[in-house]
Amino acid sequence: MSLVQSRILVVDDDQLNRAVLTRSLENEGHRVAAVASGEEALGFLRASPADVVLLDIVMPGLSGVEVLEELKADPSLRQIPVIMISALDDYESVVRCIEVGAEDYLPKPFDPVLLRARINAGLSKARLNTLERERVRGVFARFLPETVVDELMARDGHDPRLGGVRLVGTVLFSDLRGFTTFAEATPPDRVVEVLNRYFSEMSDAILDQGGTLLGYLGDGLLAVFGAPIRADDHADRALAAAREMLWERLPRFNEWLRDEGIADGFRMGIGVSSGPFMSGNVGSDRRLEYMAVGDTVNTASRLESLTKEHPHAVLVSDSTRSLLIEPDDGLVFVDELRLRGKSEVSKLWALSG
Amino acid sequence: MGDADFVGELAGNFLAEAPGQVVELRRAAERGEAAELRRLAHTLKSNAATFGASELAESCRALEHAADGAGDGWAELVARVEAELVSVTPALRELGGDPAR
Repeated sequence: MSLVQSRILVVDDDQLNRAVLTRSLENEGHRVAAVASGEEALGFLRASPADVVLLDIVMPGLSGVEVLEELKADPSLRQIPVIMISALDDYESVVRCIEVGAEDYLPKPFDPVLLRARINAGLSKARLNTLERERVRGVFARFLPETVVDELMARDGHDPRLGGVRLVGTVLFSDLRGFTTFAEATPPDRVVEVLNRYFSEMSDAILDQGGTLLGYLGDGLLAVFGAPIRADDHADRALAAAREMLWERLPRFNEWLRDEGIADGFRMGIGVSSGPFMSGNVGSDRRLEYMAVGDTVNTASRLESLTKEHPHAVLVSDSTRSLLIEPDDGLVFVDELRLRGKSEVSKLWALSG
Repeated sequence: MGDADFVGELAGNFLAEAPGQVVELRRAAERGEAAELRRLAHTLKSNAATFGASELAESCRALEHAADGAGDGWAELVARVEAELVSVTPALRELGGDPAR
């Protein structure tokens, strides 16, 4: 048993059953609350969740089955293990409850050994749920800002899968110039150390601006703004991140390279484009990645490549400029550009400090 | 409060309430209120089983099931429940549950 006492809610219309269960569970060292109806149970759990619920099936008013259905339909309550209390001859209801999502059942009259075993199994499940939530949270927090993780966890209960959605957002591609040449002439452990340092700086810039990291490709980085959670100021956030990456994070990274005597410093290229794209978790059971797909992603990648031919480190598509909430005085016109698959030319902008 | 006292108190509560529950059972049977009859029999059944009063529990179970069918035979089953309650009462009093004590 953990040091923190477990909270168990007993729901039974029968006073004798409540008394017996409360007494037995308190003797085991649990904290027990008991209510006499399904309506009270729902009210109680919405105010103060329990670790395990013991729920009688046959009750006047809301039946145990109906209470169970409501609990399983509520994202904030559905992970609480529920053990049904039932007479041994009420087999059909028990099966029904297990199908709806009950953890187990406890036959009446109560057998103390069985009660202890069922409760402990339920508590293990509750702890497992908590651990699983923390693990999922940890995985998501690596590429999503904290606020977005919170929202996702709240939205989807304990199973935050990101389904595919089509939305309008901003895509950012970045690349480290000359890194491949450097890497070929440098010991592998040093290369990994330098990359980790670089990605830590850049990831922080993305996450601080509310962006979502989609992945690292060699020395490149792909991020989106406005997905998976919609944000109206996705274009503004992406430009703010680009500024922070280029004029705060990169100088600091280069200074470290020089202090360590590793290299003189690198240059970066960043491409930013806005528009519709599809995003969601893509992959197999064994490896799942949050991905973005669409023309907007291709354009951002192409603009990033174009920075090699221009003196500008950040190139921004006209779509990003037009979706800005606050006009950006730092954007200067560079060129007219025909994008693949588009008949009309569109304006190309560069970001200046 | 020790476990024996606790059981005694529970048995006392049960003995105090059970006759009233049998009265309600009979009333529900007479009025043909099947759902109410089923619920009352169910509660009495589980309480009886808690104290190991298996004959009483069994007669309640029979009544609970009969409540799903037509009304004939309900009165006899209620009478059986009443008889079983009477016969088990001395044993429950020995648990320390005599409310008059």
